[in-house]
Amino acid sequence: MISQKITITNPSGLHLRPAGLLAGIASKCNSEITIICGQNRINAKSVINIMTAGIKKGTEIEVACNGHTEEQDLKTIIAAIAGGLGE
Amino acid sequence: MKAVSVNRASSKGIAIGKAFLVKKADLTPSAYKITHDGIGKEIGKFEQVLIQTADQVEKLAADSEIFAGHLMLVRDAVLKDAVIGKIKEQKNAEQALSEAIAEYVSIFESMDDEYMRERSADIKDIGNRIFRNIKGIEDKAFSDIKERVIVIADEISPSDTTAMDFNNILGFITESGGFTSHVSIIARNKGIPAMVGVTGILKEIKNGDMIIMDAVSGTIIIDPDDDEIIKYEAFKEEFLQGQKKLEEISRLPGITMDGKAVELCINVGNVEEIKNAKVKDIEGIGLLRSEFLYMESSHFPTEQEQFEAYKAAAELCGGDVIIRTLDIGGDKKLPYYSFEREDNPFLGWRAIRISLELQEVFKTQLRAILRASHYGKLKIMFPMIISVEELQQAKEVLEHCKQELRNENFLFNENIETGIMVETPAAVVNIEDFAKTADFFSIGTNDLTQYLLAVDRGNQKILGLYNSFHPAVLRSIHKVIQTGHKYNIKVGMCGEFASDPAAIRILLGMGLDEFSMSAKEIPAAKNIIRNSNYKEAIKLAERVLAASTIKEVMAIVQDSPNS
Repeated sequence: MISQKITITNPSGLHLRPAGLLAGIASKCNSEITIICGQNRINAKSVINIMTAGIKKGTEIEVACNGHTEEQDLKTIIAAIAGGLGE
Repeated sequence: MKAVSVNRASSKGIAIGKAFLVKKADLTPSAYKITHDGIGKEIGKFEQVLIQTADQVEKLAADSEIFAGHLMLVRDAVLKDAVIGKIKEQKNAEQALSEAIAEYVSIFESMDDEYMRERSADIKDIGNRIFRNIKGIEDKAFSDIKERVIVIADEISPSDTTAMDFNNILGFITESGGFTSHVSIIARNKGIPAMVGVTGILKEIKNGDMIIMDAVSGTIIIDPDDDEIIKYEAFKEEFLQGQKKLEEISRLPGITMDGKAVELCINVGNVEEIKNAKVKDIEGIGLLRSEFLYMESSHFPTEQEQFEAYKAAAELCGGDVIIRTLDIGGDKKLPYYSFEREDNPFLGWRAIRISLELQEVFKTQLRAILRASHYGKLKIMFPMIISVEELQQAKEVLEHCKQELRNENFLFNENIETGIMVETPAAVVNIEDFAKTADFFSIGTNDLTQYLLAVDRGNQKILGLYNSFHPAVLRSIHKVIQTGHKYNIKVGMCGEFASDPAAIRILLGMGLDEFSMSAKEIPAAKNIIRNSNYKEAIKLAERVLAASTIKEVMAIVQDSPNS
């Protein structure tokens, strides 16, 4: 398993649209993808789970990937978050 | 006739018409248990329905962001697994779905963010859509509206609004929902009056009842008599005229009847607000509070993070943008920095005092502003200044930052203006000295009133003493404006007083150059300016400045022409 930290920059945090985009991208990855935010471990492939975590702007999260394609997947996810998830 | 008072209108306006009560199809789940052998079949049925639902929503999603969001929810693996998990416990698909949806709804409803709480309506909406598909029922409640009516419902979902013909909707009243719920947003966009969160209204009103909804003052009148209807028809006309006039006014220049022009600018707390304000109609930003960058972050914001925000502000606003450097302390704290407890935080370590001590933090901000100054008309304003030394020190740090940026070959405005927020009695008393060092003044009336009168704004017991019409405050404002003009310095105001209808003409008469306020106050303030006579305003200001009590001041204001 590998992981990387990143700060959320979306103005309203991970609300429906960015959360949906993130879940959509995560769902296309083969490895298991978890967002670690404080005590929470969130399945990144679920928009509902991401939203209910209530991740706000400025929050630092850790993205963990586990599987054969973990390196590529982690890069993909981090790039998507850094790119502002469509915002 | 019966009247119900309502305290939350989410879209202002007045509507008079017949009530249309929305009866939703019964979505109570069947209670039967499925057999162990039937589990596979039930899961198959549910998966089939889910595909059908996704197809329906996908068509709607093509041109709707809301349904694009719903599509993500329908396709959510966690929701699907939750339902399947319950089917495996021998619950039928309807039951399993209802329970899973209810669980997620309650999670969303318990979140502390209003936006997230209201997303529970999206989960319910999508749940109901899947449910109807399991039962094979069509939802026709809203497509049945064939005449102009006031729609009254428990709640109105995005799916409901797609089925509506808005030409037939005079108003919305719902039992649930809040200011950011879907119906509120749609109503505001379309200019349809709406009241949300009106608990119990479905019991008060019958289908076809004549009702008046006054979403300006917050009243619903059921079965009004003719006199009442005539009265409200007039109110409605007046309201619509007023709206139209304000809209027209906000596009006109801020100029008095006798030709004196003043600047009307907006105060903003973040970049989003600049986007939301119709930037083309505003002349500039009189106050950009930079705190949002610090308070909504988990760390002191980096130079690049700040640069991007300031650059966006500069590019969005064609006019001047006054950026106030970090103004924390007092009641504003940072989650990632520990402040020592203070007995008098408002007289404590705050604003410029923090910046001058945490110089690296200050330099990061100044470098970011300087770099962004290449992209628009930025100015820098220092808050809470009490002495010329502070201003000199701040300018020295700025000079140092400029030198660094020159060495690093960054482009920036070499002549960027620096000003002070005039909000302490010391700044007022020594204003002449400041006029020789600062490029502009901006009067912060909220703190100035509090410090001049030694009245804590937050203390309920002495709230009556907090009054910006106190002669000491008015005379201070006048002194600052006069001194500024003597030294050819522009004087603005970014406190609440600048948008106070009773104060605007006094300030105009004193010669205030720039009025800065929240965007929503601009049309009303502009209306006052445009209906004022500058020469009359000068006389008004003179009389007000001669008054020695608040009572006299208020009597003069009320008694003056065109007020």
